[in-house]
Amino acid sequence: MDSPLHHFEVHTIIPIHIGGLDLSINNAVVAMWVGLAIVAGSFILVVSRGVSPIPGKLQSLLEIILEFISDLVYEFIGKEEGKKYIPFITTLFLFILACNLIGLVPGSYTITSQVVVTGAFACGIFIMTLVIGFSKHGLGFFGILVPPGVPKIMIPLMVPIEIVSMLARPISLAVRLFANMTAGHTILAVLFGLAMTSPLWVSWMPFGFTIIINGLEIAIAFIQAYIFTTLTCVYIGDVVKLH
Amino acid sequence: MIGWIPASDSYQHPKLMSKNNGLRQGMQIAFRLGTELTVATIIGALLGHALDRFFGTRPWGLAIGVIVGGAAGCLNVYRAAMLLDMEDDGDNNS
Repeated sequence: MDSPLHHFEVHTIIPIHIGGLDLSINNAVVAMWVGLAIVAGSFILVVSRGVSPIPGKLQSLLEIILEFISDLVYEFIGKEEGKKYIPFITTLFLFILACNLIGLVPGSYTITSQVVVTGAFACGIFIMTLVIGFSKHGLGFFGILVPPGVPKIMIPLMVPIEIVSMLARPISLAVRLFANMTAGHTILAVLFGLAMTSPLWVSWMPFGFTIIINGLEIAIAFIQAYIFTTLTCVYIGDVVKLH
Repeated sequence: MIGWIPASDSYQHPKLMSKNNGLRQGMQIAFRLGTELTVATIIGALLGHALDRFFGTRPWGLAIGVIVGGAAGCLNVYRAAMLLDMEDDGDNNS
């Protein structure tokens, strides 16, 4: 019997070594490419067919998603400022969603269950918020470390607290997505292992649970992608509005 | 209040995409608030520990770091909860 963490292992498919760098193509990279291909492909398909005023099935699905994301962005970043972030936020949402859902296909790889991937997303977003903040407010951006309405005596206490809360943001963003995906898939693997090894009069129970949890995992794939994008919007909105 | 069944005027929306989705909102609270507190406390502790190693003030940096991290975590949870409250109000008004 395989270990329940077996499906998180990375296997090299095509080894590529340039200098000291390991740029090998492994199953994680392939899963990421498939996610990218699904997201980009569906949009290319709709646009190449011609965007019609009476939308077809795929077009109306994509329009609903775009509308959903733009509502989210307008709510948290603001109508004027938010417009230029919609493409980024949409890409983020759809890519994470596609990667989460691909992971549910048996035999595939859940790319978002790697803390390297989610950490890279979160670090990228964190650096992006810093760049937006400094380019928008200049040195006044440090004002984000002093919440409004704080008495002067409290400022030396509030600044370290705010710094910690600021640093905690990208890490909680990364850990949340990674931990939820890893936990869900591990539970599925454990339950399936139980179903395979136990006698038939017991095994229906864990097998039934794998079906239920698979349904839950589909919901979690959506919710985690949604939370990740919402929080990205909140963080960008905080930096743009500066309180 | 808001259940699984989408409102009649938003029948074309997939369930999880509709704005008033009770499951999505509940899950969001459950998944969000838990990590905020833990991660902030851990970050505070790590920063305190790093300061300890840097300045050689062995137990104090860690002790203060945990407290500051906990405070930051509470602040983050408070902010997240306020945000959820705001979303809820927005839904009720619309």
